[in-house]
Order: sequence, then structure tokens, then C-alpha cells
Amino acid sequence: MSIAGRFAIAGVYEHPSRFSPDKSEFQIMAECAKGALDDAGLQLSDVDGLFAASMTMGAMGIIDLAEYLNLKPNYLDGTNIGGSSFVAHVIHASAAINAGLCDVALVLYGSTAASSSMAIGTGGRGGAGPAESFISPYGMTTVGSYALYAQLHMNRYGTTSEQLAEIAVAARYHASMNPNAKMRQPITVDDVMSSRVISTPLHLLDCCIISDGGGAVIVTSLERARDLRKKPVIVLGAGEAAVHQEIGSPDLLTIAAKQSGAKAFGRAGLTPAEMDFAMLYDSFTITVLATLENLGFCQPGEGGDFVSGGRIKLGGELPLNLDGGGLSSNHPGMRGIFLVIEATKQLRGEGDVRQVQGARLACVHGTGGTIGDKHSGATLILGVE
Amino acid sequence: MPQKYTTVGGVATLIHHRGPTTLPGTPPDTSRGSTILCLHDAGGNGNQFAALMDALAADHSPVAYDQPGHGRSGGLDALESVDAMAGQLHELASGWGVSAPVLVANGSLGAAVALQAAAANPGWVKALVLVGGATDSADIEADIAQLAAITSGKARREFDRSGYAPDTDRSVYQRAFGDWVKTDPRATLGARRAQAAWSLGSAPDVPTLIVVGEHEDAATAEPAKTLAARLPKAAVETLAGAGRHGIVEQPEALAAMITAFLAANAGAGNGKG
Repeated sequence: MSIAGRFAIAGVYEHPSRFSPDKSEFQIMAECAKGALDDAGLQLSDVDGLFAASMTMGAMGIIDLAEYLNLKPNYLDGTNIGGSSFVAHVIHASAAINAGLCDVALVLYGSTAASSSMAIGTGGRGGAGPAESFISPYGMTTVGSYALYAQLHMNRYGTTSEQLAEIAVAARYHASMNPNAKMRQPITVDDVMSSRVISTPLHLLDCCIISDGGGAVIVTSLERARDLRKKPVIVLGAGEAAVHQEIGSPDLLTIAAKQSGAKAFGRAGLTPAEMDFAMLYDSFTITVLATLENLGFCQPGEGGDFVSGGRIKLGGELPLNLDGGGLSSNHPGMRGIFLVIEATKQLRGEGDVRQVQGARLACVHGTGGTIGDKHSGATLILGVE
Repeated sequence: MPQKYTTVGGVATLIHHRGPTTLPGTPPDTSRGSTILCLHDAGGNGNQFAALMDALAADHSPVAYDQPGHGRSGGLDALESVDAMAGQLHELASGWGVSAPVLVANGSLGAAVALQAAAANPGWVKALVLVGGATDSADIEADIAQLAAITSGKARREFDRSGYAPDTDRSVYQRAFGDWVKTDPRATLGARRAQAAWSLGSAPDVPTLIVVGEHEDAATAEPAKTLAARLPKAAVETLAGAGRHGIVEQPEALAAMITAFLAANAGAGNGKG
């Protein structure tokens, strides 16, 4: 039986801190768990499904987390497919509840990426695939891979750095309205263009920030969610995908969003044009442009024009990343959970001064890993009654 | 080096101290000699005083802390004014019941906070020791411009090796780099802007030792004498073998200088000496 329209997000919480050297990952997760349970009007004893991932949790980290929280869940899921993990966890939680394996799922993330001085984008990509021995010795980095994607996009379609900068400017505009955002000072296209180049053609302000942070999401059945404290945000459609090197012959500009988005929109019976706003993973500006094209918000090659002219700002045709995104609000290494949290707040009408008026439908897409290389994608279509 | 967090003004503040460790929520032990509170410069942190604190710990109770946004304390930004920084220091120390502390300040911002704390709380501070370019604010606007360029992505962040004595050992630079890199430049920028907006009102009537490095630039050594002339109970001494980073260049000699100064001014201020 399809999960579409039968499960809901009942509680969310985003940790307000962006630098927490006094806290551990698990402490951040625990504080987030309390926040989301309070938001939903539930107690920890109601939770019987635990879903989590982090930058440092090992293969059995989910057990350590259960112990830290003193939870004895009936269902555990430590899926880690990179930054999209928490979008996927919402899908997995819905499936687990649908199968009768748990009733109230707690999705958690916490990270001390900034206070632990992690070099996320400029560090090596990691990975253990057979092709690594032909790539890693030459110094490929995460940002380097995204930069190559951007170069190919520019070469094939004439996309410009100024167009990519529009994405950073819109994110900062939204962050300026988010009191918890790490970077709140508005910027211009010229500011982005004059920031130093990290990996051609990506400038510093084309890259996400690094912060500490965490979040929590409560998923339960729509029926139960209707009895809880906040308006349910319904999972209308969902999809996941992975892109890899395809034995050496990938189309680099096709990312996982193409497959996961088609599934999610198809299951929801909706189209991109019907979305009131979108929360798209923004590790770099090019990530957003690639995701828009692959989800079908515009055609391949049209992303540069699509993001220009104020379309993706609050008040535009498709406001994006209303919390300020990873480019300006927070990016503790894996930020998919914040996409879900901000989308939920917006759909409940809790967006405060950055509220998308009348928002009823949203697309959430998380990217994990590295586009232009191996990566995952998870897409949710969310809505309210 | 014992460390612990305490919350001051809603910010998790990292405390560095000596002596026995204490339980969470319990102040550090300050039973030995004078309580010496160490104040770092813009972009610095309490760990910069590690060697100096080691040298002082036998006779006194040294405590250092990281300002908000600095080192390993919470917060993204520096406090908005020197007055706020001095208030935070007073709240931190008075929360532990510390009376008559000696304030050892590094750099020009540390000196500003120490002077402001002493001026704003008459009778509270027992003595002041200002080390390392205490009056080095001549180029503060240029410093602010450079930090603004760094924080807006237009310039690279580079470790400043200036101001050290000739033939400084590589290990000193390595330790200094390790502490410098801990603080986000936006916090340093905020602290410098706060400093630029500050000026000393009434001069605190507190015994004050201004320490000038033997190799310190004349541009900062001369204003030190001017500052000393303005303070009613100030003296200037030269720290041999140091530039303007005496706390890391000559910590043992500086500790001996501070101990002698405190012994000579044992009757100053209120509280235990």
C-alpha cells in the first residue's frame, strides 16, 4: 500500500546554535529530540522508532544513540546516504509505520562540524570504490567535483557565474530574516563575484558555510498526527535514488534528483509547477541549479535564467531555501533535516517574516555525497490539509 | 590544564584554570594567593595564557576564559562593546564570589576590557597588569579593514608573525598559530570594532603595571609611557627577550615580574592578597 497521503510530520525542532563547542553530537541530538517532542505534544516514551545519522556515527552508532537517549525502540534505522539521509529517514519512517513496525518515529541529526574544525568541502571525498585509486591521488576534493560540474554546465549551456551568484544572494536575503542564521548580512551578486575563488568557477560565497547544529523530526500516521499539538504536514510523495560512475560513462549533468523527483511527483500526483516553494540542498550554488533542472522545475540548461530576476526569493514564483540554506543559515555537514524542518514550519504558517503566504505544497530534495560523482538523492512532496 | 564551562549571559563560556578540577557548576579553586584573571586580545583565547598560568600557579590562582565567539566558547560574534565585555568579566568573576582580582590583560583589547572593568567597578580590582601592545591601537582601522575583507571572502586569512622577538623559537609560533586558528575572524572583527568605539573615561585608581617587550616596536612602547602617565598608580617595566607577545614568549619571566609587582603592592585594593 502506498505511503502517499497517509503519514505526517507531527513535530520538528532545529537547534538554534551554530557553534557549540561545549556540546557533543549526542547532546545536540538529545536537545533536538526534546524540542521536537514538545513541538508535537509527545513524550520520549511515545517514541518506538529511531532514525539517525551523523558525520561521525559508526556502523553501530544508532545503538549508542538509543542508549544515550535511554530509548528501547522497536525499530532502528541508521541509514547514512550523506546529506539526504534525513529526507530518506522520513520516507523510511513512513514505510516502517505503514508496515506496523513502529508508531512514532524520531529522526535525529547532530553535528559539531564547526567546533571540531572539519574540512568538509575542501577535504578529500572519502569513498572506497575501485575508481578511487584513479582519482584521489590527483587531489580531487568535494568542491572540486562540484566545480567541474559547474564548468561543464557553463560550457554546454552558457550558464554564468552571475547566475549562480543569484542563488547565494537569495539565500542570504532569506537568512537576513532568520535570527538563528550564521550569516545574516545581505549580499549582492558583486559581493559573490568578488569573493575569492575556491575552485574555478566557484567563489567562496558560492560555497556553503560550516556550522554546528542539529535537528529532529517526528513522523507518525496522519490519523495520530491530527490529534497532536500542531497541524500535520503530510507526506504526499517520496522517492530515493543513487547516481554512481556507471562503469565510466555517466552523464555528469544528470543527478539523482531526476529519478527520485520523478518518483516523488508521480506518487503525489503533482507537478513541479504546483509547488508553492521548495527546499533544495545547497552545498554549493551549482547544487541548487542542478537540482532545479533535474527535478523538472525547468528544462536542462534553463537553470541560469530560472534563478535570475527574483524568482527564487520570497515573493517570487518559487521561493527557495527560506531559512537561508546551507549557503547562509547552517551547514553542519549533512543538512537534509533542515530542509524538512523549514518546509514543515512554512506549511504550518510558522515562517514568521519569511513566511510564504498561503503555502500549501512544498518540494524537499536532499543531496548526499558529491554531484558530478557518486551521490544520493531523496525527494519529498509535502502538503497540508 | 583543567577546563570547564560556565554559562555567562546565556553563552557557554570556557574557563581555563589551575589546581584541582571541580564539579560542573562549582567554581574553580581560587584559594592560592591572588586570583589572577587573564583577559585575551581580540581573536585570542584563554589557552594563550597556559604557560603563564603554569608559572603563576604555585603562588596564585590564575584563571583565564574565552570571550563569546572566541576560542572554545559559544556564540558566533564578539560582544558588542568593551563595556559589555567588562560587564561579562564582572558577572563571571562575581558569580564565583571573587573579590579583589588581579587582571592580567594581553593586547590592546585585553587592556581596554581590564581598564573598563576597573573603572566601572571602583574598589573591585586589586591590580592591573597590561601586557603585549596594551596601547597598540594605532592601526586599528587598517586592522578592521583587513578583517572585513577576510570575512567577506575578499582576502585570505593569514597568521601574523610580526611582533615577536628575533630568533623566537619555532615552537612558540606553532603554539600561537594553534590558538589563533580557533577563533572565527568575524569574532575578531567584532571585537576590534568594539575596541575602536571605546575610549577610557575616568582613569582607574588601581596599581597598574604596564609591561613593554624589549623588542616591542617603539610605536607601541612610547604610548605605553603616555598611558602610564595618565593612570595615577602606573609603572612601566621592560620584559627582556620579548616582543609584544610576552605571555607566550617569556611566560616564566613575566610571571616573576607579576609576582614581584603584587608583592610590592600587597596592600592594594580590597580582599585577600
